[in-house]
Amino acid sequence: MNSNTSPKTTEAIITYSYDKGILAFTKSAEILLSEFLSVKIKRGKSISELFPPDITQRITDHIEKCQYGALQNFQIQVKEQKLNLHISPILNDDLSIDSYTIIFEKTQEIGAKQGLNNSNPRQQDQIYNEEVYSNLFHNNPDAVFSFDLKGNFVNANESSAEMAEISISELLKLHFLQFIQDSDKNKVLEHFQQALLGHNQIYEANFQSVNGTKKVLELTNFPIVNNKEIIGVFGIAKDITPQKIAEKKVLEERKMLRAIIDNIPDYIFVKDREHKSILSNRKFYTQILGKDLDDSDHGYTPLDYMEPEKGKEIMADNEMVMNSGLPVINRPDTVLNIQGEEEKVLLTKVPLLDQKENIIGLVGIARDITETYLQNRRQELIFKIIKAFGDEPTFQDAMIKTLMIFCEYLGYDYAESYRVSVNNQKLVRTAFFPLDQDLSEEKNSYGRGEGFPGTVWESGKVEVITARKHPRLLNGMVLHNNEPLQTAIGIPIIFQDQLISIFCLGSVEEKKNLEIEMLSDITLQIASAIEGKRSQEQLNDFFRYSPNLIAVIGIDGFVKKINPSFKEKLGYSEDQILSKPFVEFIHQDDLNKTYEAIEKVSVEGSDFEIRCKKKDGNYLWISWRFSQFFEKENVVFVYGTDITPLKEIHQELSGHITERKMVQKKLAESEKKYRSLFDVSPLPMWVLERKNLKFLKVNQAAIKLYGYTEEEFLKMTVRDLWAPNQREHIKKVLGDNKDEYFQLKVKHCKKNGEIIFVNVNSNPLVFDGTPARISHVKNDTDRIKAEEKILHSKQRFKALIQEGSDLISIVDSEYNFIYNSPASKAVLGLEPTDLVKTNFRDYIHEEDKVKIEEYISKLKHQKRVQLPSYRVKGAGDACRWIETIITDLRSDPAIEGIVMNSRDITEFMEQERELIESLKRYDIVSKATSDIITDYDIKTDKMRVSAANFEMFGYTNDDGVYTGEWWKEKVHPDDLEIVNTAELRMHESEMKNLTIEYRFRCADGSYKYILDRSYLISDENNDPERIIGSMQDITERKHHLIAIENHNKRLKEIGWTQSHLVRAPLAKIMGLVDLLLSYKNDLENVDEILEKILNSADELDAIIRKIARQSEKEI
Amino acid sequence: MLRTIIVDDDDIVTFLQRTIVSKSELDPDPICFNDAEDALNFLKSDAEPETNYLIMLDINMPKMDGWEFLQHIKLIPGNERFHVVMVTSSIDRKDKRDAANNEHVVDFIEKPVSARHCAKLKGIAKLSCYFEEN
Repeated sequence: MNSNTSPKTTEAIITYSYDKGILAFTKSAEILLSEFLSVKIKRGKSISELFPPDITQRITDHIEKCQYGALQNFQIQVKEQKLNLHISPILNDDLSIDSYTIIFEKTQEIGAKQGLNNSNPRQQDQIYNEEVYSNLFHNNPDAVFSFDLKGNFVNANESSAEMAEISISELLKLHFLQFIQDSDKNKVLEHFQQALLGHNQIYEANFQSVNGTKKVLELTNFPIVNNKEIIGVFGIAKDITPQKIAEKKVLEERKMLRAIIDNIPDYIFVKDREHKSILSNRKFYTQILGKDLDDSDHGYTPLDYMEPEKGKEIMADNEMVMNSGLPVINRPDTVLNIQGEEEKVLLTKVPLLDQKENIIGLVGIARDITETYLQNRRQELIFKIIKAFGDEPTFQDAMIKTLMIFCEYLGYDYAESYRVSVNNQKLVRTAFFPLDQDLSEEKNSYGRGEGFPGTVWESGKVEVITARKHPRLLNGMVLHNNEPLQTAIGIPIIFQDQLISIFCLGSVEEKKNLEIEMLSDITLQIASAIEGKRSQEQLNDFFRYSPNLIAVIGIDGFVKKINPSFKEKLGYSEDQILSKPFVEFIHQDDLNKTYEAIEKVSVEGSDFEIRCKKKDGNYLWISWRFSQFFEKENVVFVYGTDITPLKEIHQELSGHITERKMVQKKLAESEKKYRSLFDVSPLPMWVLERKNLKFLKVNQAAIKLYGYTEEEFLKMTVRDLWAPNQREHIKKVLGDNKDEYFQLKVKHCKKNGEIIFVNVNSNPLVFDGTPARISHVKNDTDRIKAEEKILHSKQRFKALIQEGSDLISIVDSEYNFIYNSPASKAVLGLEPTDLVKTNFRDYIHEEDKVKIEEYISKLKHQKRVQLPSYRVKGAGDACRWIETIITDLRSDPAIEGIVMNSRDITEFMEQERELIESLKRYDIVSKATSDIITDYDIKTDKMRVSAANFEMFGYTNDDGVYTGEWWKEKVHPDDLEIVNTAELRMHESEMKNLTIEYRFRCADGSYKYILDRSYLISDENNDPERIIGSMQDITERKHHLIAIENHNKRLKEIGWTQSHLVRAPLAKIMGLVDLLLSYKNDLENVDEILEKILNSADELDAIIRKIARQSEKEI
Repeated sequence: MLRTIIVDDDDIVTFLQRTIVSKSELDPDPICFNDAEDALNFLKSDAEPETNYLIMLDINMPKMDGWEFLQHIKLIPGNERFHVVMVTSSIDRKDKRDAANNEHVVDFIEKPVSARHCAKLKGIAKLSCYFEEN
């Protein structure tokens, strides 16, 4: 048979949708249609694109008819070729029909054309038809058969027999109804009747073979016409059972999928590239589209269900996803549902891909998180309020902040808060917001039931009012911009059944979303925040105003928080305390005590007394008590009481009288030393208070010179000495050199009225803690008078030079010596001839050069300059202190040079330096107050020791000077590390004061306990220069202390043992008596018990006697 | 089953505790030892493997004291059956702390042991199951 007749090429199948054009087609369709239509079939093409208009119209008409379910069979002619068309509808799940199967079938005319070479066309036709028919009939894979008018089988092919599971001959004896399942019998009979009436029938029916095998068949019935008379019915049965099963499965799956997506609480939607809905779930079609079922195939776009603007926005967003292929995952978004409510969603959009990975749309899922969002908002609000209560320093600030949060967060325009007065009679306003708008300025307290706050108080419930309904309650509540409040809400804040506050919030909007639910939900949290703040404030007050020290200490060694009392007592700022380990503030000797106390912190609390360092270097005795230990935070609260006064009294009482005496003696000695230096100085000297120039101290020379007694001096100020008309000049010098050295030439007035010329050198110093000046006075009266006389004599120049003890030099402009007086020998140790042709500058000490040059340069503007004291290097590099006046006489033809008048003041400078040092030392030592005074010069490694006292260690040394090494060697080996560490710290951390306890070896090898208090002196460059120390022998005290400690320990032991010993027999007696009392009616051995009580009592008695004896011994 | 063992070097104390223990129905016939070592030997070799023992243990005893006893029972297999009540004439805070850290010690009693103490012992979690029907 010709291959053209095979169903593959003669039948072309197309699935077609009215809206979407061609959905699918078979390969044969492609071949067939391109053959006839010379167009390429393609998915999406419409009929009109394939066929000429007249044929298109015909096909479309038939499709329309088919839409109502009727099978369409008709013929069309394209070019010369006739095609049979069969159109059958495809039913959707929801029973709608929107696509169709179109089968194109070539008519037999092709075969006819091929048979044109036959001589008798008609006969040829007949033969050919028979052949085709026979072939079709017998070789058909489907069951093909024919019935007579009654429905009995007349003919059947092999496939029919197979299907019926019976032989053909047997089958031909049967009626078709036998093979139809009961449920379908009527339907099949109906179709059969229709076929007899001449209508082609295609339908499905449930089949049953003779053996009971069940199948679903697609049946085709059409009439057998012979000579225009219907003589029977042809039938074709196609087994479509597998298809049906697959279809059923697909249907079930779709149902399941639908059930799933419909029950998902998220919005689910699928869009095509034109933004048309392909699928949506129930939430989407009910909440967004407002439909009862998913009619997405209507192709809704966002423009159909959203405001145009929002719709466009969504489409643009979709477009982005579909164009880029990048999904949007969980993006927060807002959706307006059909009820007009805003819902907060997390939106996910994923591109939808076909099998070839082309983007054909998108799948969107929007999760409704409105509840979560509201919850978060609530949480956020609560958090903010709690934070306000935490952050703001005072209760009122916290309330204002809370009102502000309400206004800003919930969109209110005005807010007030109230609390119940202490006597429970009134509501008193605690805060309002905004701060520049006080709407209840005139009335801000209310009785129960009075006004809006009073109403809320009375009801104890959230109250809402509007200006329309309650004009009286909102009367006068008008904001500054003339907008009256329209709505208000009053919220009572109740904590543990007690009203603690009322919030009133107002808005200018008439239909304000009051968020009552949210406000009601958070009142409890607000209440606890308020209560927390209130109690915190009370605690804070206690913390702030307590005269005791209260702190939070970390186990990490740092102080975490302190109360203001710290600053008051110890003088440090909070930063200073918090930034250093607390051990820095504790006396070295008390560190162990502190560590012990900290170790026990989690077990039990008891007081411990330690010395704490003040900022000024002194110590306070503080009794500390650990309060609560917070294990998780590793912090502990401590309370400290200043017990310094107690301690001082105690110490005073317990201090050794001899020790006192020694200190006093030492002080007297030191003072004497200082006095002698001061007193024996031939130069008049005094110490003045720097500020008011009051005399603090004068020496004998001064008393002698001026004629005032010491008592008189001490009632005077130096001003009383000034001769008239110099006040302004002196004041200026004083003012310019307030805290510096200066030199001054003045006229002083003696007690007897005589005027003297003096040269005053004054140095600043601290005397007994007071800023002072030490001044020495050189009486120049005689010299000046002589000078005055000589000035008038003709010989003045010569006399000055030849007889003066001062060095007179003349130098040229470059300061090359031209002339030197013989005094050069005394001043510089050089003959005048040695100096000629050398330069003055070469002799100036390096350190003084800059200073001197500065003064020399003044000569440009003034004729005479006094150089400050400076050093010169003379013969053999000996250093001398010089004071010089230079006078520019270059224009004087008699001289033609600069005259330098220099005086040697070395001796005086030495004396002054020594004095200052002595005073300094005296000052320091008087502070240290103790036994042996040591003065260790760090640079020379020499230790000077006050010899007399040092004898008690058994060491004698004529000059009382020892090396540092010698000293160190005497320190007990076990204490050496402590001493070294302390010394190192003194050097490195610039710590001025050090108090340390160690053992020091005496000459006889025994050790004494020493309390060493040292003070570090630095030079002008702040480098450590010397250490002044006072050593106190505390051996005896230490031994006492150790003895007491041991004694206490022994007593404690005795006490403990004895309490145990006593308690044993006592416990027995107690137990036995208890037994008698508890079971007095139920004891058979009462006598035995009584006897045992007696025994135990005897035992107790014996023990008590023993203890008495022992204690007596111990005492 | 729960049996009571009394360990105390003082006869009067063992008499007293035995009487109280039996009267308060903790154990009708408690086993008494004057020497901790004897008690230890009993636990090692004569104790019933299925039976739990409540041991009322004195701390201060001449030969082996209560603490040593506690050390030793740690070495006996199945020692989780031994529940110790420390009994002392005078409470030292340190003793109490040490006792609290010992897994066997269920209570700490200051002498004399009274009927109330015994009632309290019945309520202790580890022991209460033996007295529930009461």
